Amino acid sequence: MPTKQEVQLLNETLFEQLDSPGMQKQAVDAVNDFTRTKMREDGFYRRIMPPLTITNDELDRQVDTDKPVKIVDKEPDSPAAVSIPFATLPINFYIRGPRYRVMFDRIVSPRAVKDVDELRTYVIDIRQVLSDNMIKDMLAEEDSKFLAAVDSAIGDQGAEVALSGTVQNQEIVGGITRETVVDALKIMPQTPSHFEVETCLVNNITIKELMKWGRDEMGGDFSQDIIRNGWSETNLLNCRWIVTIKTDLVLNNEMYMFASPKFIGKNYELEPTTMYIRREAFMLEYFAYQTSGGSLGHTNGLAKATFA
Amino acid sequence: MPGTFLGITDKGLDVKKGWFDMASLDYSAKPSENTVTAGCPRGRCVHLDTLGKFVPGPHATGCAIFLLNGTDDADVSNPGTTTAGSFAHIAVAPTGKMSGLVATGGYEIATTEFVSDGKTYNPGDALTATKVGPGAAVAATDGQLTPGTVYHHPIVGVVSSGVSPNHNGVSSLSFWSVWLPAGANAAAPWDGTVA
Repeated sequence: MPTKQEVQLLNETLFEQLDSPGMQKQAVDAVNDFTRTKMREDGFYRRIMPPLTITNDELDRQVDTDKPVKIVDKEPDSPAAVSIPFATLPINFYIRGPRYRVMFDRIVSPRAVKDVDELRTYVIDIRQVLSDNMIKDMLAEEDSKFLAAVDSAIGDQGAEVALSGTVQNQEIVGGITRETVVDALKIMPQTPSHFEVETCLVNNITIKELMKWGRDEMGGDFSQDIIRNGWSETNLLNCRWIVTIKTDLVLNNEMYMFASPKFIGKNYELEPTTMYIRREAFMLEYFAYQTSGGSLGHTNGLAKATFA
Repeated sequence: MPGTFLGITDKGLDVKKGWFDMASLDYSAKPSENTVTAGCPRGRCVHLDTLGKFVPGPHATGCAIFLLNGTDDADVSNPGTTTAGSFAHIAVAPTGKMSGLVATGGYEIATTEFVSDGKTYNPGDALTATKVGPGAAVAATDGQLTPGTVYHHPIVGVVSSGVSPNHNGVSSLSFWSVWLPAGANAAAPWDGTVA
């Protein structure tokens, strides 16, 4: 935590840089470094499906649009092997692999405007003020889009997903115990792909139910650590647990489960989060933007449990 | 489908004057379900329904908006089910949002989306847009500019230089965006339809 003097020095430095035409780039670069670090740390979409940087050369040109598109190959299904008697030949199948298109859109924060002389009176870190609100809004939008797609893939609670022939969104009765959580982890491997859960996503209320587990349920010193220090990101049941405070997206007693990102789809980042800052006379304006695209190409690596 | 695709230059909205800068009056929203089903290309005139979603055509009091993106544009929609019904993917992005310019902004616009058959467009003529009927119903032709009657139809623009090929050779109608709600003439109220 910087001291008040350090914060004021930071603000003055930023203003000096924004004041001098040659120094504006340094000011923007400093804010962008800070912004991109925060983006990497705070969004659960980015932690479940880390963004892959894509360059212009990797985009696939289309005849019906001049907007960026990336075509991704999917692993094709193949007929099962069969046992046959001698002197019998195998059946033929012609190789065709499915593909899907990943398209892109832009996430942009609202544009903030302010008279710089009014900003001079703030003693908080202006860089943090600039970035934090924007980042919070952009991550919320990104995470919300991701969970909307996941919800669409796994369908309604209790409904069979046509692609897998299994129910990937289940209610598990019995509260949040070692038994019910392990039962939840069985949902994904029941699909024909037999993926194992790599990441669990719960909110910061639900995780407290896990923290109630005693030594007999959680096991030895781990239970003791949680009682002393609370939950910190760690592996449990061979899964990475991500805890979000976005309780409006991940509701209480809900647990989303994800296989390895390579079994889910693609998350491409065409333009990383960038802060646009401009000062014209005494008016300062700034906003953040990014260009990204993503698709879930395989839905068997997704599951959800709601504990009742 | 080979041979039936819509080319990049077939549908368009060029803003000759008034856009872009940070103060431009644009608006973004998702289209209504019926709009997605019928399809609505860029350049069409839309309004907001009571849910805040774009619906093609004019509205008695809802301000006209001219689309910068169509429902099928790659930054709006990425359908993940094939026409045969097979699963391909589920898009995380884009989310279906479109954007357009609000008619009360000061713009001169050239759009490919107007009724060309049997209509004349002279400088100063008032424009409205086609609408199959009042309510949520949407036709694939809704939202094309067409001559309108002042104080009867909702007026969404006034012809500037008229009809000419744009830089891609596609016939376009140039007009200034304006907004005049439908008239409250009790003798001949607007019925929500523009042929």
